[in-house]
Amino acid sequence: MRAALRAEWTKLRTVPDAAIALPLIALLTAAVSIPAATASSPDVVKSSLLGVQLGQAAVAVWAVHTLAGEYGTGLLRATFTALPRRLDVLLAKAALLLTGVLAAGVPAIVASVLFAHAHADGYPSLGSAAVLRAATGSVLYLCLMTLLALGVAACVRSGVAATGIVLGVLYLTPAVLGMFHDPDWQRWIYRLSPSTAGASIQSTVDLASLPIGPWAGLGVAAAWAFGLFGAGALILRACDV
Amino acid sequence: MIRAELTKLRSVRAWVAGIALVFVAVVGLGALAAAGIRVDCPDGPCPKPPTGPGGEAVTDHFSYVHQRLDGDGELTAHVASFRGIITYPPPNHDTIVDGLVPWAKAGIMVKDGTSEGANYAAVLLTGSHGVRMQYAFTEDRAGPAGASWLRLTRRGDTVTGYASADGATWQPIGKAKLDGLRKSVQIGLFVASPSDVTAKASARGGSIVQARWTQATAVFDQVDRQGEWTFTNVGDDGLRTDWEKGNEPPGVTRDGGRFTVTGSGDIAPAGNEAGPSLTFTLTGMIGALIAVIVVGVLFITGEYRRGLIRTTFAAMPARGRVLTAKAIVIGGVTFVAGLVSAAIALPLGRFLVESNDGYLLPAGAGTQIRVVVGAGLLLSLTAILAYGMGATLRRGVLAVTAAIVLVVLPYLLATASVLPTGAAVWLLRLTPAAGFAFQQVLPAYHQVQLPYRPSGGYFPLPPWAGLAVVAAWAAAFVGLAVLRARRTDA
Repeated sequence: MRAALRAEWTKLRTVPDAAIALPLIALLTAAVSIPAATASSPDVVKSSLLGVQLGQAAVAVWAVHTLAGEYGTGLLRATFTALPRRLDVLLAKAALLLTGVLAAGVPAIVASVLFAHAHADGYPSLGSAAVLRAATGSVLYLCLMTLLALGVAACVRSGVAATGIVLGVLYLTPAVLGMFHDPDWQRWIYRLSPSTAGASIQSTVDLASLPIGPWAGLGVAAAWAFGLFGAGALILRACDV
Repeated sequence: MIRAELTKLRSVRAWVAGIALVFVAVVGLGALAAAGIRVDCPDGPCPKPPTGPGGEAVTDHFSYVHQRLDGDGELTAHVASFRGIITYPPPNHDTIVDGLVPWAKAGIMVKDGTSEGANYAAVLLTGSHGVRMQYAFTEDRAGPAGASWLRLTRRGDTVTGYASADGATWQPIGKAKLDGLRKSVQIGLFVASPSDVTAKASARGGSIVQARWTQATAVFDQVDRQGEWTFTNVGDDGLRTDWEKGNEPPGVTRDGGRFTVTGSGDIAPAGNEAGPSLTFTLTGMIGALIAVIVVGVLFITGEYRRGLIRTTFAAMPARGRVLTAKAIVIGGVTFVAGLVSAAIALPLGRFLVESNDGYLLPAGAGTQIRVVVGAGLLLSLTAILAYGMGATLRRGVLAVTAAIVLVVLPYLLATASVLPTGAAVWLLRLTPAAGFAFQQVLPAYHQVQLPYRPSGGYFPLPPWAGLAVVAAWAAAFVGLAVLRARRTDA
């Protein structure tokens, strides 16, 4: 495992991907959150974290590319020859990606919340349970989406297809939700989709009307993330590269 | 050149699968969403809203004091007073206040019978938009300021409206040609008062629309037609509010030549509050868009990755023309796929809704064709945009993400997030998500006070302008790609 970690760290250090992805995650998250925080909104806390909607795209791309890029260039064959324990390679990639997402996501989310607290009317105090839950939940949500994207990339092995699937999962359900006229269908789609259920961790107003509670929603997202990551690990172990 | 590219597209299984996914998404998701549409009222399925002379769904509910008019004739009346009440308006929603909503109406009308949706022409006083002439539900013309005398003359199937401040000098407002107007029509006084509608942002994204019941009362005098008058509550649903039971029921009281008419409701084209529209059959568009984005990007990055592009350029050295040919092929194929699948999804969705005893608001043939062609064009232009990004960036993952973030995310933020309406409107003007404007079925009318917001399915740009925005984005990226292909090695 240590060998795998060191190998992945070397790749991460020497390829410009991380140097582009990390600032991009932070920048995109803050760039949407900060203007959204100043607009009037019924849920100021949720508005101030709106950038996670865009930041997750950068997270997903980076995660997909970290694995699928190696499929594309054939580097993965060399990797697996040097480190035959494939699961270790996947776990090492996941560990480094999560560290990176934390390093970029935490400052962006903290900055968004601090800015909103200073400038938005009626923002709850920074120590309040709602703000703490929404902020830490958003960080956890980004981490879960990292695992989900990595899992999908391991399942489908094509970077472009994996990106399409991951972004489809993230953006399709919230966009089509309103198109379902039947409120029962709407509630079930909201509960079952990782993006809508997971994003309920950011809600602080009128929680009773949400189709799913904040932590239960994050649990649904976690089930998807770990499920797809597990499926990806199985496929990675079982199939030729 | 085009044939070479078509052959490539045809022979890669994943690309064909992507195009097939367009059909699955548009037809399948559309059918799924349509099957979920229920329009339930307390006693069984809701009745369809009435339709006006143009075939569009309308609201037609008002108090009408009328008599028969055979052949040509005219009616003049003076509106001596116009007042009303609004129940429980913001901010506290705790009292019933005196006041008129902006489009409360009192005036005189020629109508082709008293059934809902029958054609009409009217001159009227409004709550705060002065004197107007309105006809056929969708037409509205402003009259002179300060007038309170109203006159309608009917000659054949043409009705002319006049207004005057003093009853002596008359100013024409407009001429309405009501096709197929019968010889024997109704003419008389009317009052309507639409609900007071406001929208507020919802904590879950989108907006909550609130409608409050209102009532208006107008006193007419100097009515120049004699004879018997009949009162009809046109479009009456039989329900009465507590205010109507306890204070003022809809109706007319007569004191010599003075008529006091009280009523609620509206005479106007219906908005999306009247029921689901055709747009709901296109739920699968977003899924299809993601599929064409992936295919569009792969169509070029696949060539770069495998080095096939060097062979292509060796065989056909005019790089700009090769890239353009590829754009034409990917655009053409996705256009046909989108067109055909939308042409299936629309009638299929309508059939499914109607077999559930539901209904979709009617849309003219022109609108339906526009929606089907628009679906094809949006898919096609998005595929070209994605292809252009792929050719410019030459990185598949990056291009797919950029295209999805540019096309799908703004639509999502604008229609289903906590983003305020002002920002949402700008997103739908500037980003390629503007193309979604093609799917707006119900037009917005200035003479109806409804919250026309993106979250309610109303777009800031007209359909073709929205698609033009996507086209501009696509052209820009294909242009960049051609520049890059000419300047740099493949």
